[in-house]
Amino acid sequence: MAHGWWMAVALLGCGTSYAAGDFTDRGRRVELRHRSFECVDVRLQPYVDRTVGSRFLAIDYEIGNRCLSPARVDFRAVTVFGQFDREMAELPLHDWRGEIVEATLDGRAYAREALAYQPPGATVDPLERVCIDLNGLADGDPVEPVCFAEENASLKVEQPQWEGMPWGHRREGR
Amino acid sequence: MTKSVVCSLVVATGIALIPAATPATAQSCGSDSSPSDSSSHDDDDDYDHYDDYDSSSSGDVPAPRKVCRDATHLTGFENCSRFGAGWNSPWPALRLEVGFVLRRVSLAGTSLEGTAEHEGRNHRYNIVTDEDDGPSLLTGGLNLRLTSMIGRHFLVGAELDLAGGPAPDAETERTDHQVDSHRVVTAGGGFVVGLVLPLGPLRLRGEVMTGGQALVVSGTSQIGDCIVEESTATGRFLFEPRVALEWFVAPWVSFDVWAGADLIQRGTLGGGIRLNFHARSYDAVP
Repeated sequence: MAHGWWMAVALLGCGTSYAAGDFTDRGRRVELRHRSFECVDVRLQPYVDRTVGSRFLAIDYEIGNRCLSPARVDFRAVTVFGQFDREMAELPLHDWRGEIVEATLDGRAYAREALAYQPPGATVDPLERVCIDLNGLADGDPVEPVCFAEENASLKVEQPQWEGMPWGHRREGR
Repeated sequence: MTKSVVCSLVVATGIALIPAATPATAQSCGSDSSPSDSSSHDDDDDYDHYDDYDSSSSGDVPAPRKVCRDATHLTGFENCSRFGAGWNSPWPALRLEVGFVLRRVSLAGTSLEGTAEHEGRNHRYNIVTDEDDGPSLLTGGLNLRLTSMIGRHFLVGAELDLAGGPAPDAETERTDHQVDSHRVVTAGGGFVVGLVLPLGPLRLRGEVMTGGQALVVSGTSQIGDCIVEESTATGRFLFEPRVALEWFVAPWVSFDVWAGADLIQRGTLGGGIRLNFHARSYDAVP
């Protein structure tokens, strides 16, 4: 019985929980896919889901709470823009079941969600660039968008640029 | 599997592992019961784990379990899961606390009288202690609590404790009547309210437990060749202010040490150490 108890304590006590720096390799390198709010860190990667296909752009979000207290998280506030044939267009969140709601991420907790975004055309195939404005996802100061460019049939992260982006004017208003 | 689910499993395991209380027994001379009837052989150490499998299946092959697996984790296209499953916490910030408790139970002003039946007649006896100015018992046992934080600074909940220890001697009316007390068992419980002060990774807590406690003293009564098992019980109220210091070793696990003194039964002191499992990390305090 005692053995079982200590095993349980070890499982819980030594298990992983989120800590500051987990998304940035403990600060040893700059992670362009990573943004930090007051308590919530976000890391993301867009991809094309094999099962769903190219009808939707999928974005894999990892979120971690650096604080001990719970944090509000609202994925509906994220804005995604895609560049198709040199034209930027907003990709609306695909939530036909209405299941994406404002949520709570507990202190030091980690979560992962993949969300689908609807391209303006039938497929995401001509996608040249995608930029994700994370402001509003969690409480904190405004953060720069995370941008990815198509390169050799995959989406590679690039330095974000406010200039020339469709939400550039919104930055000043925040 | 998320940490919260693991925590819930451990909590459930913890509840299952808490040993059951052994009820006090009393029998008169001439009873058909034999000592072997009340004894039980604990084979836990020899228990094999094949019961983890479906015993209705043939042979040693475990029965197949239905597992729901999604082809994609993309929200809106999952059949087995939904957005926020496992991390968006809708459940309250409950705490299950399990620990060891040591008590000095004051018997001052407490009556522990009993009667033993021998050959159809009742014979009175009285449990006493050797201490003239502060008769007391020393008990040790388990403490179980279910509590919840309210906001950042308040805690409410309920608790139970079950403890035991050696019993004091007994006085009898007849010189040929001998009562040997074997053990005392205390069972208590009540409601807890507390004030919490966060101190970095620690939490200092002042709290009050209000409730009651039952004391059961059991032993044997002997007159001549007639020996019977006998027990006597009494109840009392508790109003116990306490101080406690809590330390989180992980977001979902903490330890605390506590000490308190009963204000109704002066001289009754308690203290212990507890292992706490939290349904929400750090009790989800804002």
